[in-house]
Amino acid sequence: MFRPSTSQNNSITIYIDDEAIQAVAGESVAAILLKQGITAVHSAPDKAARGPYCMMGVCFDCMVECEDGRSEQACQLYAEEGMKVYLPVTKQTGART
Amino acid sequence: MNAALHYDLIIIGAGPAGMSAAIYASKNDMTVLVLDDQPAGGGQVYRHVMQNAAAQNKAQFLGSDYWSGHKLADEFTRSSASLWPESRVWQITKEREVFFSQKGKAHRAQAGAILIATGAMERPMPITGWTLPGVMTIGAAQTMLKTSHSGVDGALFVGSGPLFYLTIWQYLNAGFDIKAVIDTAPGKMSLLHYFWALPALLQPSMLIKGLKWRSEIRRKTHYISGATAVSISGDSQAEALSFTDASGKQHRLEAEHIFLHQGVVPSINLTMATELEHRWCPRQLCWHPKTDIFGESSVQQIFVAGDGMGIAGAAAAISSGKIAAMRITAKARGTSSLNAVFQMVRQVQKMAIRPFLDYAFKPADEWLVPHDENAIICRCESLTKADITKAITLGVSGPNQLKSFSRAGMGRCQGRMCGLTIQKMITDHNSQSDDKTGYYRLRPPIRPLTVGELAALADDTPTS
Amino acid sequence: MTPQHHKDRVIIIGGGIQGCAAAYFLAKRGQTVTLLEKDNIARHASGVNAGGVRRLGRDLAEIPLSLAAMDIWNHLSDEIGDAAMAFHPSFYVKVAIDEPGHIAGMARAEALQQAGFQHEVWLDETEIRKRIPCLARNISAKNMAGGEISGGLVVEGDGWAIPWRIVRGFADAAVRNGATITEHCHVESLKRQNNMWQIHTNAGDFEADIVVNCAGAWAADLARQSGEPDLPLTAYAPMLAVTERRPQILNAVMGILGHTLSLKQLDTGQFVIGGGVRADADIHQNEAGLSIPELATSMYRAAQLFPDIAHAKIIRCWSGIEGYMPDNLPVIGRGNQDGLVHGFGFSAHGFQLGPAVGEALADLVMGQQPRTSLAAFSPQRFSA
Repeated sequence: MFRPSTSQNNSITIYIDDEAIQAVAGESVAAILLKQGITAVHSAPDKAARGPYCMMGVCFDCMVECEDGRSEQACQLYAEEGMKVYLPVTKQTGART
Repeated sequence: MNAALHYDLIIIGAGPAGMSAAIYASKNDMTVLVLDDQPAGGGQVYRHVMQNAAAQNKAQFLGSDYWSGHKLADEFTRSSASLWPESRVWQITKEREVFFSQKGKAHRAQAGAILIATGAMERPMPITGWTLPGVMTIGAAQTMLKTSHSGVDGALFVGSGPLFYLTIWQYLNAGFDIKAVIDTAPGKMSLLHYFWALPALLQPSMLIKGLKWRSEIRRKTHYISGATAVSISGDSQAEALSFTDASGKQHRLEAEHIFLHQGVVPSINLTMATELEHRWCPRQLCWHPKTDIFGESSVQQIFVAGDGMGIAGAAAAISSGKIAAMRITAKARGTSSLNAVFQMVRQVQKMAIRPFLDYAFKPADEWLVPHDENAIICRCESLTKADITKAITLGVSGPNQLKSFSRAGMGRCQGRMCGLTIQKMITDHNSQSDDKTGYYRLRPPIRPLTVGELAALADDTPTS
Repeated sequence: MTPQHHKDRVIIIGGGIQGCAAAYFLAKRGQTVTLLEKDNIARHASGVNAGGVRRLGRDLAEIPLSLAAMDIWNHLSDEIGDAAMAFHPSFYVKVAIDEPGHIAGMARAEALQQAGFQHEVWLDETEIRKRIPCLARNISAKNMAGGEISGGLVVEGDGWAIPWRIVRGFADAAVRNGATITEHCHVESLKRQNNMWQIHTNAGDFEADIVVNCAGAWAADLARQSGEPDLPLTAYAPMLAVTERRPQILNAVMGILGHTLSLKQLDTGQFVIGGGVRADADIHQNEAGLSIPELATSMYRAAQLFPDIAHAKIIRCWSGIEGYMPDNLPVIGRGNQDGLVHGFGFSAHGFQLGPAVGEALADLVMGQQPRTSLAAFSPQRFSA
């Protein structure tokens, strides 16, 4: 699990699969997920679980679903108060890996 | 769509090249728009530097090279250049229209000149198991340090190159436990390396720094060099790394987090989709946009600067950004570009170490195309080496035919993760040159946008 | 390399669906056939179209040919084997979302019935919704009061295919039956001499009794070169977009009466959206333009029918070079000169017709009576 080496200003709340998580405003959702110990977020066409790889928007393996139903790269999504994201892999497997 | 967003200069990418160009051009009375997909300037090398400078906990572990970027980013923030953050450019035209989306809304801007400064990305390292959750690039590890001051204990680091050593050194500084460093560079320097080390002496500080990092890493970590035959195993998550050391002994180390690196390559999706001419660089094993000495591409008034024109590092990027801005400004004014020429002389010194780095850390063939037929090549479509080989043996003239046969390159990433690998597979199979094989025919949008975003650009009156 | 000299009975120029289907039918009938393609099989219009396999919405003059083609599509595996699996039959529907569309749709249904065609049927809203449950309840429209779907024209059994695979299917089947296909072979001159066609290419010289001109957007240039009168073909680049994979909500291929839209959902879950949107093309540079903002109206229409589509990400756009005739009908028939047969100008709706066109071209080459009348497609219709 990724752990911070300095104290973090977790001043906002976001929701991952409807679970409230304290997060730093403006942090990427991918970074927040990794700090929660979540490394798998969606499935590839062959059903294999995938998660963040490049953290800079080129691998497209950190896909999450936003509240309106659109998919976004979690590393290109910056946390705001009340943001809700859903992990496709939870829906697909019924459990978060 | 909003009417007039007109700028003398539109810069795509707020990394060192983009920021440097923006500072110069805006100081010289050009109207400048800078588009970047992050919330603030910095690019990858100086990522999050403004936020880190403002934070209570100064992340000193990131080192002085990183912090040297703060001055540049600060000057950029205070310049009159207009930054639209979290903006994704998806198309630019030869007539210099720029189409981009910011927070789900598409925009159009018109530029007098465009500077593409989109930098580089990690070279894909398609080894067995590279798609397992928990496997990431060294750049990703470094990004977590910069943006979140976070890392993992007990990770494995596999690969080689300047960024590899820098990140591991930063990890040590930050106090994370490193399980092992598995260096894939050959242990000994060849004659070629010694030869190219000579001009590298023009940049002695860089050479010394690199040697210092490497010796510290050797002392402070479980360090193994000359590794080959690397593979990652695991069921739904990375579990272990296997490899062979220089003496031929096989190892297996357990870890859930594994960071990979085989150097960086220019990001070419935007330059190729804009139909700029490119040439294959055999020394760096990547594509470079063709430019003149100022960075102007094969399309008038579209320039390229920074690592996106060829890997040369941050200092060279700052310089090439300035050169492009000087030339763009001089052309706009009808004045002489002599100052740009003078800047180029200083540029030479900043690039002196490059040939040495390129040769010393040139990835071996096994990092470019895996031996394992079951290793995944096209991540987006879950295609293995066997799938690609099957299509190639049907007889393809290049990657575009292969795309039709196999679906490789048809996924979200638009070939970023598989393009170079597939190109090499075809080049090797057909015994032809990389220039002849070519690359995927890339077309806009180079970043995805929603149907709704594009729909919103329609005229208000529906047409029949 | 010394230029090679070949003597063949029939040479087909152009490796799109028309050329490859013609090659297949001719080879199947025992003719000596060589197909010359200047790039790769299905490189241009035949490989980049939306893949619609439709009888719906055809010009009355094309309907017999389209129906004949559908007979072949329905037994395609008999002709091209496993490649036929790239065809997915479902149904095609063009819905009416406003009054002009409704009126036009009903009028067309009436006209077709009068002309004796049964395949295209008007269904009311309830029927449409039964077949496509996820259709939007209300059609939102900018600056207009909301509308509704009042019904539509439907053709059962129409569907979609992966164009490239079907064309390759015909090409491979042609080769299995003895045809020769040469790619990267560009015709530089075509001249009739001593009752034979002399064809000079970058890959050697060829002689043929009969030339079949299936050169798509390049066909008029080729015809002119051979000594035929000018034919008013213009090249454009139709554009398309494909989205990421989304949950399956659409089992039909859709259009809208009175508005341009082509919308389908592949078996992968990806939506393919386009319809009548064209960019510039340059046939001499092999360049097809792509201006994404021009696709905006098609996107708007797709989202009108299925609001969820608005959130789907477009991951790729493309365009290809197609040849258009001013009356929107193809050119199929004998040229002015002996031994020349034309099959081109399909104006972005030639894919479904391909199998029947190939068969008709084979008939023309062999002096046999084609299944359906080709009078409306006569090359001579442009000579005043």
